[in-house]
Amino acid sequence: MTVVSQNPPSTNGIAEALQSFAGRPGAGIFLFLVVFLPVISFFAPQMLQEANLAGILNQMVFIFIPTLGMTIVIISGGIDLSVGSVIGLSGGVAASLLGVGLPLPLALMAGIAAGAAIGFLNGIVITRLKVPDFVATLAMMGVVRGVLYVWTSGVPFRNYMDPAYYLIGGLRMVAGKLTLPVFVALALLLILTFVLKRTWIGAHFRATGSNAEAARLSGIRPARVKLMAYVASGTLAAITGVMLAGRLTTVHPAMGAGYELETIAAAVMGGAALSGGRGSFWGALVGALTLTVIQNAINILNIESTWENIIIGGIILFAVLIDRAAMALSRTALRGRPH
Amino acid sequence: MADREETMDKGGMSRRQIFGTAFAGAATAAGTAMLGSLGSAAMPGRAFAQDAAGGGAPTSIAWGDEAWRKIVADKVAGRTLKIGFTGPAASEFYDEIEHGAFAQMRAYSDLFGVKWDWTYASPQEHQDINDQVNTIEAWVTNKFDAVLVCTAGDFESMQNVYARAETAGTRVFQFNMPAELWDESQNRAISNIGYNNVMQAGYLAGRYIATKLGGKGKIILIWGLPGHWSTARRKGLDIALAEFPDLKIVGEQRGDYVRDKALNAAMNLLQRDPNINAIYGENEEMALGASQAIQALGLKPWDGTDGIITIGADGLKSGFESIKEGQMTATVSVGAVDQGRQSIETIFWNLIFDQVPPKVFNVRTQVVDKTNVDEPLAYVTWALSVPKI
Repeated sequence: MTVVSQNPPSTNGIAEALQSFAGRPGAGIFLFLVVFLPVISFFAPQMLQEANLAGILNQMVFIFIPTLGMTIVIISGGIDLSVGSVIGLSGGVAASLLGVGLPLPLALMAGIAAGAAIGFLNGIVITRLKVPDFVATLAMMGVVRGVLYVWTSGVPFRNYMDPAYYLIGGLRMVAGKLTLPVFVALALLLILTFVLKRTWIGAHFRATGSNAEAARLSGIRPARVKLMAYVASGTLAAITGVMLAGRLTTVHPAMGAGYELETIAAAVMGGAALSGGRGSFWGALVGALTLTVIQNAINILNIESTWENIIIGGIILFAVLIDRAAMALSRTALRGRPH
Repeated sequence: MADREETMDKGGMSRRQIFGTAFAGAATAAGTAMLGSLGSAAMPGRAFAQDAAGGGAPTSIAWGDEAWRKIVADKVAGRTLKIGFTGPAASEFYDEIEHGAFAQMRAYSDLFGVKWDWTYASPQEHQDINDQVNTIEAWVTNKFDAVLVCTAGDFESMQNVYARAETAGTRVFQFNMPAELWDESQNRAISNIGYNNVMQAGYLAGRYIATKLGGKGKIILIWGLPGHWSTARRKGLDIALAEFPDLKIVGEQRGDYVRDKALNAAMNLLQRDPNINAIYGENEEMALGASQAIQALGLKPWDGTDGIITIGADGLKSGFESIKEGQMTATVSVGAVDQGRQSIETIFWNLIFDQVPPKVFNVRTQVVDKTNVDEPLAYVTWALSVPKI
């Protein structure tokens, strides 16, 4: 989806198409990735091997799925810092229920429901109690992580694995070298893109995020929209959490810590505007992909570990700058053209 | 107490030991009731009541008699010792240390009537030093008798924290710190109960890999957060590998002590080059992540002669179980339970009788693989069964 107005099909095709593409959220980062991958693979040819590319996809989904939720929240004008903690708690709920003998589907659903409930709580605190998004979800991040620590007293959940859980966690390949979470992510991407582009919901999210007051005056209920956004974010984080619990075969109370920042980075790299009203699921995909590719490249190039943080931070900044530059260019180009 | 029998130290070396019915209620065998050796300089022995002569009449030697016990108990006079325990993060490893401490505290309560007021705290963020310093200062303000600290904090700046505690009358002990990295005369902590990370952890892992691979092969290393532990273990590993020029480190990446990141790093490195002979994870979570990566990629785990070795360091129950199941090849067990027990022993004799412990007290460590996993697994399982205080 895109927020920048679609230009009507025009006569001078390619240039127009390029301009229109550059104006899409995440287009710059996409270009970055398209250039980055071959350049890096020049130094490490293994990067482009089928197994490694599949590996990148298999790892990427665990950032991508919560980034979908983060993107929804950002479009609607909020921010969700509780994502990482929700990943941990939902994984913990699924693991503990599985551990006491509940069937896998029920345990997974309970984990996802826990995430949805936390998202709902976030939404209520923000819309009803008027606590700023940042503060409310920051507090929730601490509370939920704290619950996990108190619940586990620091000792990970383990010995809960069920044969099918290896599949759901992506420890078994299902199609070639791809794992099940990749297909879950793909399905979510398609469904959410459809909902946001083809139904009224998308318009309501954008309107709320751009200007909640104007949205309200035009008959939208911003509080309800925001509540929905946080429930979606909690649910998507929880889907990630229950799959991650299968992948790691143990739920450490710190599981998912730091994911909130990675998902924000991925969403913003994908063209989401922290001021609200703008964001893209395909952009989120490219953002998550970029983060994963960077980590993969660091591993494969065997870059000295002390440099890791600097490199990742630097590339995120560089990538976002390219994206913003591409957008500015496209805007200038649009402005210069007679309508 | 007062159930006296002959006790033999595990290694056959007799030490000043006392054998009480500390956990008689829970004891299923006489050997379940264990007490550490007395005196702060002794190793915490795992005593068991058994006739060493094998069937002959027990020659009843009890280490410490009622007269002596009474003197200690009188000096304790039912006192409550207020102890704070803080590690760099909440984890299974620190839980094992804590349970070792619980065991020793309960034993001393039964013997000497001492009571314990035990407080546990760990920073939410892995290695959040600020949070930890605040905790210690709060304990000092609250007149704790002693604090047990394991920190990722800078050595010099922690000395200031310790100095303030000292002035306020709280005694500082460290545990699980690589004390070998610093000049021990500069350490204001009364004692550091831990193990030598260079020679008793990193070096052992390197030796194990070298021995199993016959001194030849390709190794991947996965490190935790840069800090004291990784520095020290790295040193030891380098010392061990220096003797084997045909053992090549072909990849070295960060896993930040968590399984998630280590799993991805191991997968990436194995996809780059699947012909790897061993992966060293600096802690068990990461080594377990590496084992999972090997399985997920359909590669072969070490079977004793062939496959990829994975070795970690900690000595967690989950790690031992995974070794038993043939997932992780080996680990360096760094004596978590003994660190906990020894910490309490050191604190007790220091607080009550002002006995001076060694500045650096190293417990035993051991490389554990499938061939010898039963004893450490049983020991840890026992410690974890000791109720909390």
